[in-house]
Amino acid sequence: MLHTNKKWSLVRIGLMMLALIPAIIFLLIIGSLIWNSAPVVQAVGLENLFSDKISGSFSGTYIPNQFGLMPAIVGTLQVVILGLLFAFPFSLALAIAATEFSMGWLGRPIELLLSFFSGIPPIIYALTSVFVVTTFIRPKFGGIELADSLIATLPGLPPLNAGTLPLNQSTLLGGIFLALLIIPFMSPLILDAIRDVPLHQKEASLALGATRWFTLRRLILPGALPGIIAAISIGVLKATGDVVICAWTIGFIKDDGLPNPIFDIFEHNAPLTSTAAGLVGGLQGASVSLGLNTSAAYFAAFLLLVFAFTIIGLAEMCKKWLIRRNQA
Amino acid sequence: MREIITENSTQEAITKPALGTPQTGLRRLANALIPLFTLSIAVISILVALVAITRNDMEGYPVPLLVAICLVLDFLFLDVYRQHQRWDFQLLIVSGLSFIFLLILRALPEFVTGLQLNAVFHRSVFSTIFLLAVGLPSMVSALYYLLNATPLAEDISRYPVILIPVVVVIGLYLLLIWQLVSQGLKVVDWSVLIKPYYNIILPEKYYIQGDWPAWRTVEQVSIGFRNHILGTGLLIILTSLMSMPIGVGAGLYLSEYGDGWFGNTLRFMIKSLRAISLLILGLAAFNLANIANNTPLEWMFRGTWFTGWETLSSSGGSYLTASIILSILIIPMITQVTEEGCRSLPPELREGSLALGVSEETTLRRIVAPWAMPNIITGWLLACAEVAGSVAVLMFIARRGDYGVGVFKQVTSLAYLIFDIYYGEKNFKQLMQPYQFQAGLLLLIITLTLGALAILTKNWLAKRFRGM
Repeated sequence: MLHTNKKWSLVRIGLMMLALIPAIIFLLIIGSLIWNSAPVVQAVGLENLFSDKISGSFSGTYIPNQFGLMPAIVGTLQVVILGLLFAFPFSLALAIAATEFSMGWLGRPIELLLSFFSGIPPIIYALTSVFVVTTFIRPKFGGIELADSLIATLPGLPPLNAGTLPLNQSTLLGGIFLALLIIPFMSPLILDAIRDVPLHQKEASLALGATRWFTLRRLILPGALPGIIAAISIGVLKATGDVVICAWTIGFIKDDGLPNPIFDIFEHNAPLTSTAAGLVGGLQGASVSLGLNTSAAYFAAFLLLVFAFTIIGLAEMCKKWLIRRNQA
Repeated sequence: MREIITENSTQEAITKPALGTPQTGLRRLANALIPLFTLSIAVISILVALVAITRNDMEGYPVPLLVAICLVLDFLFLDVYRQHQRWDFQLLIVSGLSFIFLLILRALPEFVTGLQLNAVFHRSVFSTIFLLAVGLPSMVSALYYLLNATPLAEDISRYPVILIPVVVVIGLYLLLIWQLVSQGLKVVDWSVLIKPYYNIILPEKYYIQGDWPAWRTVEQVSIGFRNHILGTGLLIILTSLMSMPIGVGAGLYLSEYGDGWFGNTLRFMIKSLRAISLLILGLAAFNLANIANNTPLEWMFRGTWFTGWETLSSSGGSYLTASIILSILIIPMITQVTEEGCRSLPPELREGSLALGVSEETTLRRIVAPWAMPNIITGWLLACAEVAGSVAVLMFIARRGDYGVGVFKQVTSLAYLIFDIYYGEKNFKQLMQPYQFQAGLLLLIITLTLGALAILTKNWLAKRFRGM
């Protein structure tokens, strides 16, 4: 760190070799994504890939070589925005309760609980989604005939036909569970950002006679804004990259075009991740399909990668701009 | 105005000894009566709204509650002027809002559709939203005026706004976990923990049917997830063996020598590895297994299974493939915690060691590495929990796993089992369906135990390795 006369010791070279391995793996992964998504771009063209027709196994009509990913992109945007809308107020409230409004005893338990919840794997959330379906989605959005009869058939309920009403698969359900997934990751970051606001500023504000609520609204939250934006970007990355919850609660491939109207969150608008998983088709335990389907899945994964780096870049830019504005 | 206020305050100061008398007590009670009434109605409406999230049969409550809020807020508006000489128009706005909500709620039929949305809304969806939207502000105002509208009252009155979401979201987590536990304990069959799953048809007896020889077959079924539990353990061990040296080495390099452009580039790449989607890792595992197809290394990456008379290559991947890709998931975590641990070393310790003439390598081994050790162990435990719970990486290469556990066998794990029960073959699904929640409970116990170990041993490890 701050020393070294000997420039190239054996230890240094050995450690550098070890550090190079993950970097090389990163380059290899990007290379394999581009390499494997090239065939589908060559065969069907970008216009086909961004259209809204995709051949899935769910509707009866199978059209070969249709890999329109537009419904999947819309589905990704829908479910991420919905998840963030659910998650952000709650994680902000958790962070504020743990730091500012805690009277000294609520902070530690909340942090402990959050670190416990962050260890719950996504498959557990997916498994428990059935309780939310039976107790919330079906009675509230399922109409009268479902409301009465289906509460009686709790957990081991059979998969029903999607497409008429939001039953066990809808974007709303996916948004709720993505929110549950990302709250334990967003909230500690917001908490740290609130803690990092300089103490003397808070004390000055309180000493001038401002109430705690006013201090929170006018001083602490604006001061913590860069950290909050970083937390949101982490939440968005986590929500975009999730496969299991999306596959379980939303479905694999939406093959009947764009949702109509476009903001319809009660349809099963599968996002990019689960669409790619459906395209690879290694789900049924049967032999996996090779060829253009898989190549289209790699293209979807490449789009996800581009999306992730766009989010990271935007968050960094926002953060820098805010910090510069705060300093000025 | 100013004089009047000072007069009042002096009068109060004079009559202060008489505060405990019944008359002033009654008067204070009378002053507090309307805020108290508003508060109770607001609390009731919020409770009703929270309960009505899961129930459809509470149609009788919202309309009277909205009427009550609408009226009592008007009274509070007048009462606030009487007590504090202030026209608080927020109260009137909320009151008007509740009146509008009331009209909307009366106009709605019990089941609502519209906008071509793919849903049939029940009326209680709207009544819940309305009650929350009106109940929270009126609760805040009522608390504020109940506590005499002081600055302290402003702080205290905001507690519900902060605490209600906290209680709701933590309650939701605990409710889901409790449901999982109760469903998992419903069908308690401990023998599934030690039995493997298989469902095969074996020849039992040779006989002559007509002129032809034939075998009488017998179906052998065994239900359990021993292989899945052992497979999770094997994945954890293999992934740790692969990722710990690389992760720790990379972290040490980045903290010791990684300040130039080269180190920054490496750091950016390793961080990006953490940011990429799990789906991409799943596809990478699928790719690795496919690349090895029809090569001499097929038995290593593809995974094999023994049918009883010959060894076949599986359609998925082996534990080795899975743990190589899982270690890509783990390495960035380990690297990050190692680097954080090394950077938290006080510079005096390093300088003192170097000043005593100790070589740089020995300093790294005896001073820096032990200091980072608590972070590394905590990070390792969390990484193990992540390995145990990851499905997306195994999604394309894992199979049912009824042919045993080994480094080159076909991969399966407990987390994948839950996914497979939902989406797998029909036969498998039927047999394993009753044990889905038990498997989920077991997975939850494993991951939470690892996480709890990481949290609980943090202080002990710091004492052990850092002497503090």
